[in-house]
Amino acid sequence: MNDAERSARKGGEASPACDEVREHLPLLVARRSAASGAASGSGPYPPMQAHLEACSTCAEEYRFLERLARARPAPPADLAARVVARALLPTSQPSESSEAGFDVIPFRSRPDHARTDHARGDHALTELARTDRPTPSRWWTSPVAAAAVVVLAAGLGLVARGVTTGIDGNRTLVAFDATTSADWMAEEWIVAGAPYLESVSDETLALLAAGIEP
Amino acid sequence: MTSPLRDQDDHELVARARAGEADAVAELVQRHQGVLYRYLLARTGDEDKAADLTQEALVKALRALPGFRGEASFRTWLLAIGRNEALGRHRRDGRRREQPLDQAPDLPDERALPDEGLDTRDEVDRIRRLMERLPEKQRMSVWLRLYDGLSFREVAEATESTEGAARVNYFHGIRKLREWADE
Repeated sequence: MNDAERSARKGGEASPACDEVREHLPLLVARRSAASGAASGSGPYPPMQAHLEACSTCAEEYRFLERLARARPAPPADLAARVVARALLPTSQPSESSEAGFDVIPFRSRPDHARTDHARGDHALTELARTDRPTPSRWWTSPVAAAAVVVLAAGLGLVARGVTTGIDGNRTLVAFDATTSADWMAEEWIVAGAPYLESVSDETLALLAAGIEP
Repeated sequence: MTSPLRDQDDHELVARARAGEADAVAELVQRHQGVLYRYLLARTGDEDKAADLTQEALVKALRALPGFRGEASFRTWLLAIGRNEALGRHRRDGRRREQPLDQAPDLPDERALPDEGLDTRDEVDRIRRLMERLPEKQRMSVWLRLYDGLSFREVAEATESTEGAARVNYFHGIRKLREWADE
């Protein structure tokens, strides 16, 4: 025991022993780390603070733990949003890719995010509304979904008039006369609709084609 | 982000989440994703795998909330689900859990730390490399205790050891890290 430790021990009944302090130092560091991004930070409780001021050994240990805490890994920024989005969805049918009965959106090949608490913003949940990462699903295999597509396509066919369809290589082309259906041909619809048309099965495409022919 | 639920304890949040309050679900996730991710990262040593397992475990936990009886804390229960997910993944992968260091995947390698200088990045890299050298249970004990403030009893449950062993693992880990840091 060094002089500082002896001094700290003599400091009064409220001053805890070094062993006790060192056992609780990581909790203090963890609390500070957790509070670093929040408004509600708090310092060590007074007896521990007094001990750290008097005991150089414990103070050095505390500084070392703080160094370690700077490397605290943080989860991907969008993890919480993904979880909440999935958790709030109705349970889907078991898929081939998951024994648990729901798909995992894999964290593969994503950008090299900085993932320490220093770098991670506290925006995961707010990003939920901004990130358009659809949960992988085979919605087109559902007869209801296919029927909805057909109804939508038929409705558009009535409004758009002048629809042209054709095949170019392996791609199915659907063209509309925008001048006769300007109210319906919003940019958002084209952007949102095109990928789905490319994803539907041959059977559904056949239904689509039948539905939009005059 | 500020949340009116932030001051509520887990017991209250769980009750509200069970009642279908989406805000309570979001707060539970926000509050516990970090500890679960770090636990699984310390366990697997793989960022992507840890993130996937965290996602799976959280969703399972939230969907199983009606069956959560509250005998353990929500965090302990969640870590147990995460452990089971990791074990299940390990079985499916058919790989040994502890790999030689030269074959083990790297722990997170941070390349961008906004508002931090080069010295800080180097320091973080160095600490990460030191952490990689720790045996798995010592690394888990240090991380859970230091990064998330778990009690030794909670650390013991998460690392499938006794409370005494968790304490020893933590202090041995810290001692080794100090020795290596001074080299």
